[in-house]
This record gives sequence, structure tokens and C-alpha cells, in this order.
Amino acid sequence: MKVILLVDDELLLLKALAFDFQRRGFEVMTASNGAEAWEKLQVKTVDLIISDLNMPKLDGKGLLVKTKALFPQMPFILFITGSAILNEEEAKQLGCSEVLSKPFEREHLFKTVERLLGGG
Amino acid sequence: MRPFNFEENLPDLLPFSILINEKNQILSLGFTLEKACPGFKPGDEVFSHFTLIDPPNPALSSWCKAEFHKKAGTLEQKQNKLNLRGQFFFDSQSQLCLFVGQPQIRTLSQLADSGIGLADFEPHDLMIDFILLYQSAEASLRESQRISQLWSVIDKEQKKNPSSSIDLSPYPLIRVSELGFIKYANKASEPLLLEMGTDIGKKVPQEILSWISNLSNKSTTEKYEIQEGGKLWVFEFAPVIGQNEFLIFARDETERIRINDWMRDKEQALLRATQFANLGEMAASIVHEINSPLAVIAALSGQLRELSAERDFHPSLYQDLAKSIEDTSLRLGKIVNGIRTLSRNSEADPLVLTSVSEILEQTKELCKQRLQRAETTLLIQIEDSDLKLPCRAVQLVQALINLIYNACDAIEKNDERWIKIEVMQKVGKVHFIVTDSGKDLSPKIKQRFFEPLFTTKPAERGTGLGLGITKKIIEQHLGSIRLQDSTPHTSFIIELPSEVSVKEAKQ
Amino acid sequence: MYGLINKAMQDMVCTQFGVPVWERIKEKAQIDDPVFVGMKPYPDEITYRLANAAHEVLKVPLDQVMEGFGEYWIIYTAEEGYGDLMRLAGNSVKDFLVNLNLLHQRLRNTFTELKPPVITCTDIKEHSLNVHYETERPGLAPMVVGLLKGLGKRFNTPLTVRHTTKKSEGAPHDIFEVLF
Repeated sequence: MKVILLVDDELLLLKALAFDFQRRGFEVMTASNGAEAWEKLQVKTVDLIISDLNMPKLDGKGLLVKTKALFPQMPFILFITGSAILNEEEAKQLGCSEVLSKPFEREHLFKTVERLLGGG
Repeated sequence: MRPFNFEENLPDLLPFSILINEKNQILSLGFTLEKACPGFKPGDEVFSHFTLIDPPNPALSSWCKAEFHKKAGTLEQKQNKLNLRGQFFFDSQSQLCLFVGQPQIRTLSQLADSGIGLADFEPHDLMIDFILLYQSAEASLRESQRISQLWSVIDKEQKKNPSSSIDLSPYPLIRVSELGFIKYANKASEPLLLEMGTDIGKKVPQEILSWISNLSNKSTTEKYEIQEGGKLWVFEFAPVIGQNEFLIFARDETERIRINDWMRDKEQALLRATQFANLGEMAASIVHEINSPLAVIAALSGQLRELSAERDFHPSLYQDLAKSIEDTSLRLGKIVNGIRTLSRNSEADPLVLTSVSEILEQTKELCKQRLQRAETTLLIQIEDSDLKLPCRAVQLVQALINLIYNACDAIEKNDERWIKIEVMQKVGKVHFIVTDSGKDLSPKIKQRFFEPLFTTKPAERGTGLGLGITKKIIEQHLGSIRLQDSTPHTSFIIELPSEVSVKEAKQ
Repeated sequence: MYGLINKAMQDMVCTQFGVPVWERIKEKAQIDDPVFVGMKPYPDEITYRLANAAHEVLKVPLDQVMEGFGEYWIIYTAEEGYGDLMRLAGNSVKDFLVNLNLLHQRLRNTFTELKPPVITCTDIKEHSLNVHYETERPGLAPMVVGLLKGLGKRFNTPLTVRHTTKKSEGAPHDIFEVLF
């Protein structure tokens, strides 16, 4: 079973997405900020990371950079919500696989995940 | 050798001498003295021409005596009162007495009065020169006195009628009498006089006249402003000491006022711009704040749709999901509300009695993201949950947000990160105390804290304008804001009136 | 010449024509001094400039200016405090003129820069005499005429003056015949 790491400080969303991905046959790990996520990555490898951008301690950008340093091939989906800190181009340059904006279409997200993991 | 004939030559040798015998007859008279003795004939009795002044002895019959020998004496010529000072010489052999003297004169007029002329003095005689010198000194003195008098007259005239230097001054200067008549006006005041519709010799406008008569303590100067034809003049009045007149110094301040107004406009425009810039700062997190709940709603709704199509769908799950969606939507609504009202320029809104809880609620919502990102806790303590105060809620919220954002920046790197807002009611006032976990600021910084562009933040973070806006908002609410002293942490205290009169509310 | 002379001129113009006229004359003569000091010697040139300026401004022949000044001088000096000295010099026109050199000599002790003319009287008769006027300074003969007339007024002696010999015409010095 593939493991997805969900990183977002919006707890309700984290819960909802975790539920959705579990129902779709993924193992889900959650973290409410980038630093927590990074710690969890040291312990257990994952197959895909979905992360929000604005988070305390370590934001999405920071997490992306760190992840890519350690796991260059790791598929990484970043939610950018109209932030000035990072735009799509920059994110792609940093190694982000896909950039989505919030609110997002659920189907689009699920399809993207499938694509990046080459089937569930 | 023949002896020198003294007796014959006596008058010439001693021009002021008298030779008498024991019968008091004048045997010889000095030739100059003779001029001073009208009607003299040799043989005349000495007392008919001269009086003995010194040694005083009215009863003296004659001075042709041995006891007068070498005595000093003063004689007075009877007619012209010419004084002679000299010495008596009694010759025992001839039994004659010779008086040799000098005239006691101080002025040439005395001399002239006595009938003696210039020609009567020997060329070597210095007496004339001395008197002349003395009189010349007097003449010089008189001359200097006259020059000094002349000068004081000129000086006085200048004081009365200001001289050309004042006339050339580029600043209008007018001298008016107590009754307002213009006594003098220099060249520079011509345009002003024209504008006032008056002239030298005429009266100043009634307005100015009323100021002159109102000049309280007459030894002070006062400033007045008038507006005539779009121009602004500032008058300074100065009383002329000792005269019932006043000097008016006028300045055309039109440009200065124009520039001041222009600057004030620019200042206000700048402040408005920064308010929006401030807004821009918040925009990023606000957008996030909107989109986040929206994402939640979308996700939960999708979930709900998905799950409800399944056979083993449990109604309670539906409840949970629906509730979450509802709550999130409401939360979103609040945020949007907050933003919407923030974007309006609400300066001119009336003061409305608003619940403090509501204000803090809105503030909390709008700062949520910032606080989360900064991992800072916000504690709110309201003494009385029903507490209300008159305000423009939107502005007040903005003021508080500024303080919170600043606090977040300030304590970013601290181990302990919290912000506390306490609200309590004091007599006639509502106090908002905003404290952060950072330590208290130094007195030096506190002093400058509210200076318009003062900031301790690095360039990319702090513009130093936020606090200015906060201050302005508080002031517009007729309140005050300051940093508290002697507190362990940085603490702002905002005092706002709990009631405002209708008039104040309108301002 | 001593400031007294220039002051006398100033006084004369001011009393007869007013201060503004004098100011114009001074301006024209390019005199900067606001005030003349009586006891101070000034260059002769100044006096000449003033006389010329007066002649131009008042539009009066120079001779007339000089003569008028000569007359005024007698009155002025008497009033300026030298009246008593003048009394010592003589009680009549004759006496005064005869003693004039003596007077000038005496004055030189105080006025050290004084360069007075030499006045000599000849042919002294009961009703006339000749006044010989010797000086280094040119052009002042008309002033002498005025002086003599002034003396006549001072001593209440009506007289007439005739400029019989003129230095300007080549004679060694000027001679004036005074008839009273």
C-alpha cells in the first residue's frame, strides 16, 4: 500500500482528506506543519506528499526544499493559496510535481495523485 | 657809562605799572594801563583811578610806605573794573612806590571793554595768545555741543520718520496712530495698502483698527491673520514706546499656508495609501484564510456526496459532516465580512455603540492565520461580556490588528510567544490593554515609538506606518494610546471614551 | 582753509536759500563730509568747489557769490565767537584794517595751518585809504570786496570799494580803494 503524507494546519481538512485517501486504499500519515512532517519523514518513508503552503514552524516551501534534498524523486503536491511567497513557476523550479490552489476540486486531486503514483 | 633811564622808559618796559609818590600822585603809568584809564593825566591822584582790593584796607591813605615793600596786591581800575594783580616795590632812597602788575582777565571781551586793543600788546606778550587759545577751546566746545545737538535732532527725526534703510526693507512696515491713521508706510507696504483699500494719511480697515484697540497690555506684540482676496497676511503689532502709535510688521503668508495645506493633503493621502498597503500586507493571509475554509467546505461536501451514495452510510456521519460544513461557512462569512468592511474608507462613519466581544471576535478571526504561522497564542480577557463602546468597529479592529501583527513580528524569535488583550471598564473609559510576551521596551525606544516612521523592524518587514495608523484611529475615536511603564512585558494601553456626545460623534 | 570758512558758506546758503539747496550744492561739489568742523583745516579745493557749485545751483555769477560771501563772513565770524577778538582789533574800519595782520598773526598760534593774506593799508586819509591784498590764492578778489563792505556795515560806516588794480590783469597784487 502506498503511503501518502498529508501536511496542513487546517485540521478539518486534514481529517477529511485522510478519510478520503484511506477509503481509496492509501495509508495516510498526517502532520499539521512542515517541521512535524519532516520529522515523520525521517522515521518512515512515504510515496507522496501533499502539503499546504502557509504553515507555522516550517512552511510548505521549506518542506519542499528539504524533501527534495533528501528524496529528489519524491512526488510533491503543493497547495498555493494566492500567496505572494511562492508562485507556480518557482514551486515547479524547486521540484514541486504539481501545484493546486484552494479550494480544489476533489476529483482533480485524486486523479493527480493516481497519476503521480502510477496507479493505487 | 651812562645809567639806563628807567623812569623815562618805565611805561614801555612795564605796560601795567604805576609809579606814585608819598602824596599819591601818579608819576608814571604803563602805556597799556594808560589806555585803560580814560582821562588820565600825569599827576592824577592814584585813588581817583584805582581802588586797593588787596591787602584790603579801605582806610588806607597811601601805599607809598616801607611796609608795602614786596607785598603782593590787587588793584581795580575804577571805570572799567579791570583787575590788576601785582607787587609793590618801595624804594627808600627815592621814597617812591612802584606797583608792577598784570591784568586779571579771562575773556577777550573783558579786555575789549577796558579799552585795550591788540596793538597795545607787545608781539612777544603771550597773554593774548593764552586768552585766544582759551577762547578757541571754548569755541571748539561750543561747536561740538552744536554738532551733538544736531545729531540728536537727526536721530529723533529718524526715530519719528524711519530712515531709508527701513524704506528699502522688503517687508511691509506701517506706522499707525492710536486712531488708526497711517502715519508712515514704507515702499514694501504699497501693495498691502492697495489691497486694504487705504493709503498713508487714511485709516486702516476697521478690522485692523479693532485689533489695535484690543491690544491688551500695551507693551506686547500680537499676531493676527486676515484673509483678503485669497491672500493671507500676518500682522505683528508693536507699540511705539512713549508715543500713542503702533508699528505694524506685515508678512504675506499666503504661500506658506498654501504649502501647509498641500502638505497636509499629501500627508493624508499617504496615510490612506499606507492603510491600503497595510491591507495588502494582510491580503496574503486573508486570501489564505478564505481559501482554507473554502477548501474544507469543498472537501467535506464532496465527502458528504460520496458517502451518502453508499449503502452503509450512517446518518450520524451526515450530521457531523454537515455541521462541519455549516460552521466553516459561518467562519468564512465572518472573515469575508471583516475584509469587506476593512476595504471601505470608513473614516467618516458615525460612532456606533458596538459590543467589545464582537470587536475582539473579528480581530481574532482576521489574525488567526498570522498567529498560527507565528505560533503565537492570543488570549482575550473581557471583564464584562456585555461591555459596549461607541466606535467605528472596522477601524478599531484594524487598530488592534496592527498591534497584534507588530507583536507577532516582535516576539517571533522568542521562546515564549503570546499576546494578551484585556478589556476593562474604568470611569467613563474603556481600557484595552494589549500585552505581548516580549520584554518591555527601553525608555528611549518608548519615547520615539509613536513617531510616524519609527520602526525597529528590518526594512523588508517594517514600514513603521502601522502604528501611526493605529494612533490616528485611536485619536479619531477621541482616545489615547501609550506604552505602559514598569511592566515586565511590552504593553500598550488604549483608553477610549465609553460615551461620546453627539457633537463629538459627528466630528 | 579752515572749516570755519566752509561753515560760513553753508550758513549763508542755508539761511538765505534753505537746507535742500545747500544739500544740492554739496552734492554737486561732491562733498561727503556731513559736517564741517570749524577748527579743522580743509584743502582749499573744497572751498573752491563749493563756491563753484553754489554759482551753478543758484545760477548767480561766481563773482557775486564770492562778494556776498565776503560780506557774510564778517557777520558770521563775529557771531561764531570771534566778535570780541574783532573788537580788540579795532573800533573803526581804519583801525581794523590796520590791525588785521596783527590779528592774523595772533590767530596763527591757535590756527597753526593758517595761511592768511597780507593786508597792507596805504595812503590813509580821513575819508579814504588803499588796501593792498597779497595772497597765494587766486580768484578771491571779489570776496575782499565783500569783506570790505561787510566791515563798513559792522562799523556803521557807509563806504564804497573800487578794485583799482587787478592781479588778474597782470598786476603784482590787487589794490582796492575804499572811500567813506
